[in-house]
Amino acid sequence: MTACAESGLAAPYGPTRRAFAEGARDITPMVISVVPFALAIGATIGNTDLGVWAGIASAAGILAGAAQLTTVEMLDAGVAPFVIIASALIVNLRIALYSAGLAPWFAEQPTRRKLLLAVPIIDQMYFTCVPRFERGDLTPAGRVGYYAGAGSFLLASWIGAQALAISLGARLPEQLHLEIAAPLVLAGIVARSTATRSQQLAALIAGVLAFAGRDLPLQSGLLVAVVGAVGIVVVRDRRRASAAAEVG
Amino acid sequence: MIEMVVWIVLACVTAGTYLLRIGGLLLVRDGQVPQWLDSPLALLGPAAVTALVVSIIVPSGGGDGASLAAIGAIGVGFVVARRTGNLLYSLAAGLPSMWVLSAIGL
Repeated sequence: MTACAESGLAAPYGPTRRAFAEGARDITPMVISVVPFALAIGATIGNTDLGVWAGIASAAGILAGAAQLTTVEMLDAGVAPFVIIASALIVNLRIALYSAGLAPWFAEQPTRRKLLLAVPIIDQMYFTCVPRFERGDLTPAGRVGYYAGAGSFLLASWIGAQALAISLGARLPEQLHLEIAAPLVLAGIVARSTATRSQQLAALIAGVLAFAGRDLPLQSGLLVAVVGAVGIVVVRDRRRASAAAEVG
Repeated sequence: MIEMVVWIVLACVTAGTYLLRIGGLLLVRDGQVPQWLDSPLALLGPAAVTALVVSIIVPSGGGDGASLAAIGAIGVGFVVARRTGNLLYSLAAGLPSMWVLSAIGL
């Protein structure tokens, strides 16, 4: 199989080490964007009473910046525990979709491995790995290798940057506005994943609803935005489909 | 700050988030996402990430709103990503835009 790949014939290639390196390489833009975000969160934690260990635990446990920031800031503000937990999980609900979307690519993996594969599921992983997998030239082992390469580089950078910022009390120079890096790349992800009119509409409606609902309790504005946007567009698409069927 | 509560909250958020992560992987068994999920899934990614971006740049709780500079910089990044499909170019264009726009007082 290796010989096939190197001779340029269109065969799926398996060497997981090569796939691992490719995954790490492809996730690099994401890593560059999340490091400032991680440093900013680490510095925020440094400003609270949470302490170094709780701070690092929040980074390594939650592995999701927006939810972690929500949790840490609410803990510092003395918000009721139930409210904090509910808010953080609502912010993270989209992760369930990424999990469902990744599942077919790992369907043949043993359950034990799936338990590990689940760990780094986050926006940057989903939008890097799924397009790569869709090219269809990786074996199941190749996919695991690619995913592992991307995931380990991302997680190591994420946790490392936070641990550094928390323990050094590092501050990002404000004039650099590095905190914009993560939302910038996320916006770029939206730009790349809205090829159809329906997707563009869903993104637009979600943005408007998220803005309108930003003061809703428990971060439910996010949930309302996503469910509302998808609901509206699905209904609109179905109407157009049946209207087209009638005309035809 | 009561230590115990902090650890309990962190444990719950960690466990809950992990359940969200493992759920799909375990429940979607065969090589196919269930059909009824197909078109919502295509829409959910763009919707969820857009909502996330808005929630990051617009502070809740009646703050003074997102800075125009942030909105402008993100707009630049969006357009560059659309044109080039390259996220590094997005960063390379968006960050300096942020510096310029902030400097001129937006």
